[in-house]
Amino acid sequence: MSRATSFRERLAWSSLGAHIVTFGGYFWLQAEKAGEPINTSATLLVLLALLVLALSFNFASRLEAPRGEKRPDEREQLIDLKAARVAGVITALGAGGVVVALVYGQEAVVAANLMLGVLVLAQIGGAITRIAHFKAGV
Amino acid sequence: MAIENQIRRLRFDAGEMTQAELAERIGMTRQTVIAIEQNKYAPSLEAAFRIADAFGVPLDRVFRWTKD
Repeated sequence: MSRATSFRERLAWSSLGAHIVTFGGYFWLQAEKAGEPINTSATLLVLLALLVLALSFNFASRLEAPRGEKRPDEREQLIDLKAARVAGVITALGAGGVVVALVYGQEAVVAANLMLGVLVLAQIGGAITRIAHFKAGV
Repeated sequence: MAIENQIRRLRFDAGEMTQAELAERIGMTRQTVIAIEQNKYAPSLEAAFRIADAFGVPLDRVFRWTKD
């Protein structure tokens, strides 16, 4: 195979999968319980567990970096910058939407979930941007 | 892209140097070498000099810019 995937491309795929699985599950549960009284402490506990899981996964992936690939080279840094720009735009637009939702009387817990959703979407958007650039070039 | 390179040819001339070996010499990943070789990524000036140095040739033997 003339074009094996790089460590950082695999990391982007892992990040994409981890975010979709962990937070997809979280939001699925939230949607199923929509309309019921919210158990705030249980929600926070689940959220914290998911965050720890996602961070642990990311840390473990980085430990497996092949020798010489611990630090990104100039192309990978450029790809990271482009991904950060996409994530930043998604976050800014999403945060604006959450503010509008609050102004129109949305509950604080719902708004917090919306903001979390925006942050997760930003991460997913960043990961997709990374993968696209790794595949197609910069 | 208006910048063309002779990296494939130079690797052949250097005894079929692999992309991984070149990547190791210039401190980049093999995937970045592949992207440069396929004209999908234009390297920085410093990286371009490092590539030329790896082959022991002047920069203009590796990269050529053509006006569109």
